[in-house]
Amino acid sequence: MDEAEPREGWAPVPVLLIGLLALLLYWGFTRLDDKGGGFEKNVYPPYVSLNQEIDDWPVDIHGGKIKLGQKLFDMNCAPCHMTTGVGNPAVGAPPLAGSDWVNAEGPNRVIRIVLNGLQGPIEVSGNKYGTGVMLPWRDVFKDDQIAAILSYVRENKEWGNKASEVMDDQVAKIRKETESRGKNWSPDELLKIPVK
Amino acid sequence: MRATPSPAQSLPASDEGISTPVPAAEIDASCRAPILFLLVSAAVWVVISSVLGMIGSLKFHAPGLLADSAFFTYGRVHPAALNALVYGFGMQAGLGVILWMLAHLGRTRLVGNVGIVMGGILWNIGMTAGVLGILGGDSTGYQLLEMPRYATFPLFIGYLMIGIGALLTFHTRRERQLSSSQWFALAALFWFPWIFSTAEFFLVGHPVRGALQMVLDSWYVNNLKTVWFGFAGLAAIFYFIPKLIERPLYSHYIGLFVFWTLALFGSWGAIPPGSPLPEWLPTLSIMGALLTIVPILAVAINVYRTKGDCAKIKESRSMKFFLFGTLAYIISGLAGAVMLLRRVSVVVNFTWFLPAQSQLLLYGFVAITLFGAIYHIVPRLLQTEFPSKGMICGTFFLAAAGILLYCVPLAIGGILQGLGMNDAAKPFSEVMNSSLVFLRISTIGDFLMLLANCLLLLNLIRIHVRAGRTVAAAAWAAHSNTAGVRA
Amino acid sequence: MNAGPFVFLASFFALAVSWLGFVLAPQLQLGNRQQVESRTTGDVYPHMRAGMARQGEQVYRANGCNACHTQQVRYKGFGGDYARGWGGRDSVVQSVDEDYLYDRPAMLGTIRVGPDLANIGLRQTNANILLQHIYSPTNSFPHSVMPPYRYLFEKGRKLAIGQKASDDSVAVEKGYEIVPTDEARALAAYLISLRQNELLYPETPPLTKPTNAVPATNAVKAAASTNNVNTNTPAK
Repeated sequence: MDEAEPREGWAPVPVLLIGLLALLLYWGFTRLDDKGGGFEKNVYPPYVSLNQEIDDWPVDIHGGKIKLGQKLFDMNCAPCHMTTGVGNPAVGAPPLAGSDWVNAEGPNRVIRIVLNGLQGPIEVSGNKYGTGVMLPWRDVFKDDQIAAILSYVRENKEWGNKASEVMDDQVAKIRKETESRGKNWSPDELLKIPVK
Repeated sequence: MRATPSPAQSLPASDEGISTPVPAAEIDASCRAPILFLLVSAAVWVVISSVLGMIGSLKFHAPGLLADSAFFTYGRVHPAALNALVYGFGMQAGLGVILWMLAHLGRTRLVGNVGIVMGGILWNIGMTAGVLGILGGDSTGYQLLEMPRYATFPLFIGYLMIGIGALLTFHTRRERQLSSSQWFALAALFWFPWIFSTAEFFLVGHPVRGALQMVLDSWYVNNLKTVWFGFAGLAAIFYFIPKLIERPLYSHYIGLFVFWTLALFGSWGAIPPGSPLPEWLPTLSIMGALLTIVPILAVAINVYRTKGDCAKIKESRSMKFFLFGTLAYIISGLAGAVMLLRRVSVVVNFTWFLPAQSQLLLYGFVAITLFGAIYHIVPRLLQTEFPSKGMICGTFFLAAAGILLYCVPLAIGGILQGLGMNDAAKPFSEVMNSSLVFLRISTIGDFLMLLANCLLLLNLIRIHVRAGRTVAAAAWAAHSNTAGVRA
Repeated sequence: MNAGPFVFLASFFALAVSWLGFVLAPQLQLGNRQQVESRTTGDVYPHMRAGMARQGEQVYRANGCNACHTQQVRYKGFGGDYARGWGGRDSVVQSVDEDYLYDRPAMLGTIRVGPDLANIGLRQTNANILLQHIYSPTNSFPHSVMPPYRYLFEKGRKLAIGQKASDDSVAVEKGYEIVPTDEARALAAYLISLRQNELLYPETPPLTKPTNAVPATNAVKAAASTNNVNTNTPAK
């Protein structure tokens, strides 16, 4: 039962096999280029690039933003300004519904109010409101969240508001400008800042 | 090129130089206890696996069967059967055959026998705990990693102990020229600890989040099937086919080419398209799977050119195991490569086609190849022939018929199931009913494989009994001789 | 080429390539996924499962339900998954990575002997109907090959003649009502918790664009890319 151990020949690897390997590699890389989604983590089939996916979201971005704004408003702002935006004079919170501050042409002033807070008294749509203090929200919300809240407030037709949407970069810009301001705004200071 | 081994004359150990080949009979004597232990336990596990598989298969005829016992519910029996086949039989027998081949190819005695036997015992303890754990409801829920954590420690340590024995044997080799079988065997030895520890760490120890778990599991399963079993099975095929027909392997270079292409591309995850993952992962997987066509064709060329039209093929009883194994490897490999293509995957993914392909690889290729190796090795270790040559052929024909009757209906049924599932007008229950026929035919295949496995175990028991008798008779003769001298 | 260490270096190199590409890279890219704000409701998604459902997840795992059921829906148009109503999202993309964030283990399954369960909680919210099916699948689907999970149920009280079985019993056998064990109840709670229906920007763009779709202006696109960044770092 003592067979010889097997030996091995030394024939070369067929050129056709190497050619097939090269061909499949080439094919594979072209497919990876076409279908791989650029190795992006958010690209799911059948989309092959992030831009394609984003293009399919044109309107709902806005709808989503407003919904997010409403949620954040109800949780954080409604205790004083009420969910209907009518304000609560008892704690010195002026109304947002129909407010001339809110409906200003640009959001320059309201963004500042949210970022750093406000010390009254303040005149809103002709009525004077007491000495309530609004807290700064700079460290609580991110830019996109402030933009969402303010867009919800400014565009809220049910409240009679019809101002423009607030963009993330607008908030980011003002946040940077007011970085060193360590205190609340007063209405007089704000009135010096252009609305747009 | 290579010195033919010296004929079997036992040289006194003191005269042995460092490069003098050890005679084959002595190598076999050194291998006896550890390798018989591994091979016989493996044969027990393959029977256990097919009994569990049979229970699972019968549930498609009578779903109410054993329904009051949590232990034997399909969701536990099925993974238990698969784990018993893969780890209990496939890896254990694979390691046994690898050890034997490393000793013979290195013309050296097996080193670290005690460690190997201890490792084998640990491996079987782990297997028992693991399979009972799955049946008892401790499965981890990850494909082919179902065995609970407490079972994986003995498995891992057992593997390392066997692996160290293999490395020491390899290290003391007298024949320095490496053959492609040695490349494959060593790569397989190295592969498992890495993939197993990675998968266990990231899935069971410190689970990663979300669908990443699927990536890891898929990566592990593909590495185990395509690379570990691919290398272990090919090592046996590239060794035994030239050995049995007494012709050299066609090309060592093609062997190395297979090694590199399979190692580089065979391990790319097999993540099907449409998975809940960023698109680059499936795309990369498809590319890797398609590239494995190259090593598969290289194996086909090497085996075909080696065997030629050699008349010896018909003479050798074990040869048909290896040729069938090669064929199963080629078919299951090609199916596995094509299966991931988007147009194919959309039909066959999530259908019975997947288990058909997997079983063709694990049983048709790995198990049948290892059966052939076991039938070759065991008589040499025991220095006895198998009592019945017909039963060896019986094992082959039952196993081959079994795997065909299992795979062909399931593959066809799987394709029909996939086409039906994609036609939303057909109710799901109707689709399932139409594929049930194929499922039930495959039970016959399960049954034939069970018979084949039992036959293997029976043969191993009978040859042990026979060897035991021979030893006893020799001892008796020696005893009566000395008694006669004394008288 | 005949040195043993060379074989190891070669194997090490090959496996390292695969490991870096399929273990490390996905982990670096996806491993730190967090909850995201759903673009349909503004809530965070996914929710951590409630205690009962988490226990049910373990029942699902222990009994190997994933041997026959998948929990992943392929995108619309790729196979019949969406057309069969298995999808939960109003989007082309169906299952995504985030859906499995709190799954321990994530049991996505590989074969569909039974229907996909990724959104079973959207299709069936009545625990009792689910439990009846688990107790005796052939009652609802006569040819079902699903095994009856009788061991997840127990004999309840004996019913007097004319007495009605309680609401949570699944059957009446030999005068006794059959009630689910805690395990079965947990399993039902888990199944009901399975739902993948939130649209997450930008992985799952909505299926139908509103008819008066505003063309994507640069401003919107800019906002989109900012939002995209923020999706993965929600405010906390």
